[in-house]
Amino acid sequence: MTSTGPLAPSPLTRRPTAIKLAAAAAVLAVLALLPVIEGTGRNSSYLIVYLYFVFFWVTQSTSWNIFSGYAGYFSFAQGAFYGAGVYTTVLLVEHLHMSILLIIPIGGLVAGLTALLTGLIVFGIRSLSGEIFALFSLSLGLGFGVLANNVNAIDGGSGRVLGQVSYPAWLGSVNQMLYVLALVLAVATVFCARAIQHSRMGYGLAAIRDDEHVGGTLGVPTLRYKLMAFSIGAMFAGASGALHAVLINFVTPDAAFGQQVPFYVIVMSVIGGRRHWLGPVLGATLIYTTNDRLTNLGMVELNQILVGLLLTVVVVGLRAGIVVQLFRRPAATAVAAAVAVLIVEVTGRGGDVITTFAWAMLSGVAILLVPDRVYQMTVRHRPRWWRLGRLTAARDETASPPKPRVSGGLR
Amino acid sequence: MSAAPVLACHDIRKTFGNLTAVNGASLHLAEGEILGLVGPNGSGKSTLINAVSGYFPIDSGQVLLDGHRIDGIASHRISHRGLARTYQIPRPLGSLTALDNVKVGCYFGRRRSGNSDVDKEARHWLAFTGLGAVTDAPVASLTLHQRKFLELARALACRPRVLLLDEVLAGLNPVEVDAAIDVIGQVRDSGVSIVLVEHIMRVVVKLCDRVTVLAAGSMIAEGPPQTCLRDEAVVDAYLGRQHARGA
Repeated sequence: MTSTGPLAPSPLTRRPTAIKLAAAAAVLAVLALLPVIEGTGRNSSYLIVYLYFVFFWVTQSTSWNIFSGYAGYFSFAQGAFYGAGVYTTVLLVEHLHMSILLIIPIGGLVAGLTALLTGLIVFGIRSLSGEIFALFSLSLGLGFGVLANNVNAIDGGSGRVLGQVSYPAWLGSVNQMLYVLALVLAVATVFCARAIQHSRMGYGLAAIRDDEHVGGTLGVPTLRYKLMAFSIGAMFAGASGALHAVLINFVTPDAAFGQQVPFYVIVMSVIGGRRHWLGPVLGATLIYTTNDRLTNLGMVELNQILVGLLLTVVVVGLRAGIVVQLFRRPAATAVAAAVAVLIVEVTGRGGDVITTFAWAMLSGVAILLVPDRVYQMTVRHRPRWWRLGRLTAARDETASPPKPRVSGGLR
Repeated sequence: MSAAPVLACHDIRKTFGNLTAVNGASLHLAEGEILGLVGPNGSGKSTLINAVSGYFPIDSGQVLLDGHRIDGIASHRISHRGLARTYQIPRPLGSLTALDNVKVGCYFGRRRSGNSDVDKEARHWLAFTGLGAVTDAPVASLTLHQRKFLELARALACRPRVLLLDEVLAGLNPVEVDAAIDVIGQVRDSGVSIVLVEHIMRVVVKLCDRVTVLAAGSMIAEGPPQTCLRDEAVVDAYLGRQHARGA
């Protein structure tokens, strides 16, 4: 892969591919083997459940980003697609006792077709603007909620208990099954998002985001691409929702079609960065992990404040998200994370892997949030031994002229 | 005009509310020709370009490219048929580099290059328009002159048969104008037919095979540049009747 993705800040793609591949393979291998090591016999291992939720949010925010990030149309319809998946599981388990392996693709299909049909209507409007689309997408989730609340065949408003869901025995305990399937979904979604970004379609969606009319003039089939991206994203959201129904077990229309999922995927993707596939992955991992740790400490309110603060700082200071800044300061971020791990382990404040990971991530993010001017000063005065290879030094210098800000936001 | 025109517009009308911007304008462009489209400010030149390129729907009339009607069809199909344009006020894709801007044209234009060729082709068009040095620069860091040439590079990357240039030379200094005249001449020699909207008469006289003069939304004169620009009606339209009488 020599071509620079249109959404990728150029420094990333200069990195040797072999290293990236090896790193990705190593991370995946560890994640795939974890349930075997951790969960045998006991299905209550907290790490497995925590990682399940990370995979869930990575899938949700990445699927949102395929359309809303790449093509720049802010969508609040994520809840509609996620909820469509959830209720697909509810109905298919209740009436047909279907295996979850079959339900997941059906849930994806239901959500994908929903997006395709609504997209055909709404993208057909010639004067559609980003604001109107955002409002429309918001009403889609609300409408689905009203529908589920009032149609007895779907729910009727009282909520449904899922009970036992059948799945092949080789997937192990329920938690192991959830973990493995969520991992597969997350990898598939992220892989798809990455493939789109580096393809012809990625360039087309970037053109739609920057100036839809110019894109059309250059030959981009704007309507087809919007429909495709919207439907592909919705498909993964629905598939992930279908699996998630098994975890929640007690499903209500208000929770399934509510604003929690759309709200969090937007926050995660905006903080992570919407132009690069890695952005939502980082954002989801960061936000869910801090949320999990603070909830564990009984500080849910603090979490809300932290998320709000982080969102404000990123939107004002970084705009393109933390991922772009990470590509500019990879070494410093890694060092900060490593130092944090060391401190936590030496002082014995960590206690468990997730807490240590949370501290490492927050320290890394702190480095990324240092304003350019301050960062350049410290970089200039750093000792010689600090320079971890010529690569990073060269990259720092390319970053030194003031970078023009990428305009983002609603359009 | 022996051969059939590659681009033909018949009786185009475009109104905005009560304002009639283009009132029954017609033009034809022969293969390999540079047609100058001139006229005072507000005469409807840019509106005509926008109408021909499908930027907005026209109220009546026809636009034919190679004998096929292109009015009313989606703008990406117009591009695939072989019509490309530049914008008077450059509209680069703001979050991309210069190279990626041109790549969009390579990927989606008439030729629709595959992954393997896009990079090479995009670099070629940037070098051709003199932007080789800013290939990897984000467009926000480009000067107006560079942005105008990026418009041209991006349009050429679509491999058009007909190219509409909407004041690409406005705001350039004389040296840059000379370089641009050279580039546009080379584009024509490669077989692209061009409609050139331009205010700089030196450029019109030097480049255009033929000139069409537009005033208040209608064609008032047409012919070779030297004779056409001396036409009394044209001088009237540009400078006002009194001045024409006085001269």
